[in-house]
Amino acid sequence: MTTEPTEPAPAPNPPEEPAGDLALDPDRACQLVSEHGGEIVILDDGRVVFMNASAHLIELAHAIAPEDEEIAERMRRLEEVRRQRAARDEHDAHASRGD
Amino acid sequence: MAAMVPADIDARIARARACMRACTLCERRCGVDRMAGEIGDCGLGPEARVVHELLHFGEELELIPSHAVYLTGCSFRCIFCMTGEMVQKRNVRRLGTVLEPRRFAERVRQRQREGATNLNLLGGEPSVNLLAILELLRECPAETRVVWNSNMYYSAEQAELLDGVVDVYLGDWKFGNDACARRLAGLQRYTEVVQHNFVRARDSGARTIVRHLVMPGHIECCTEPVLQRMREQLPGVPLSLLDPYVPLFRAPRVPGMDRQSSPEEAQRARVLAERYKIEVIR
Repeated sequence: MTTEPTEPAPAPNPPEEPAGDLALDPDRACQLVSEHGGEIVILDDGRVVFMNASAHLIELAHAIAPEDEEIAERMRRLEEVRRQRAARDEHDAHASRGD
Repeated sequence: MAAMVPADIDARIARARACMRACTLCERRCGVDRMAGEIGDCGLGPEARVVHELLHFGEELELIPSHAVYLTGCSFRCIFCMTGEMVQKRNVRRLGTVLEPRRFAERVRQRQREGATNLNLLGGEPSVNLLAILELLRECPAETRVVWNSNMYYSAEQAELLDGVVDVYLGDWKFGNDACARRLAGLQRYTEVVQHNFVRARDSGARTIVRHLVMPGHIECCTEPVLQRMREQLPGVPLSLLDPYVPLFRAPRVPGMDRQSSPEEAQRARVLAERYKIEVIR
């Protein structure tokens, strides 16, 4: 006796294909920008241009294109600023406690 | 090292006010009495307005993090303006909030504590807001490093007031000829004015960077002539190529300007820069 092969059940939430080479699709980029502010332009070829790039846009750009050296350099600068700020905040906290 | 606020800042402020009595801040020279509340071609009266300010990580690498301050009003009418809403006359005195020097200087200090390495004045266009900017700088820490992020279309009178105040001229050199400048931005004598101001900026000893937007179909008429003039007039001054061009504002309705610039056009601009031995910075 043979049995009919059964169709595999569809995945409940199939992953969305990212647009082009982007790790995040333009819709996701737009959503993040609408939530956190800033401006992006999505080009005809799928590249995303970040305008008036505040910290979160750099993070977003880095998430989309981690291999991009220029964005990686900007991300390094951002992390350095954050490290310095954290060190200063810690120093101020110590000072205010009289450590 | 910052230029420091000059000792004669009060005298410069007085001269900026005098310029605005029959306005000659920019090369449009509209001549209205902005101090009396008349409205210049730039859309501004006596006050400046801040639309937006942020710690900016998208400028040239040597300038980040930068405290970018977006002011309304402009002397250009670029059909592709990326801040078009901010420079339309009907919006210039409606958007944002009035720049109050003492109050805003507190924000400058806060951004410096957050890591800003400079105060980056842009818009719109800073040169039509000179008075408020000088009044602001008088209130800022003396070591504040000033980036003049400008279209470079300001008057000789203004250029004199900027000498010794500005640390970095981050200037646009968009058009390679007067016909394109007239057609795409409504300007007269563009090449002469901008070239003169770039040379003066460089001669002031301030860091000077030329920004050039790679526009679609304008390599021969704009990009190449700009680079040729840079080679002849501004040897040693670096170039920051802006690409891609994106058809914003009114550009989608203008044939030829209604498309993005292509990666090939950007590459051609880089090759030309290399040919003319101009350093390209990111």
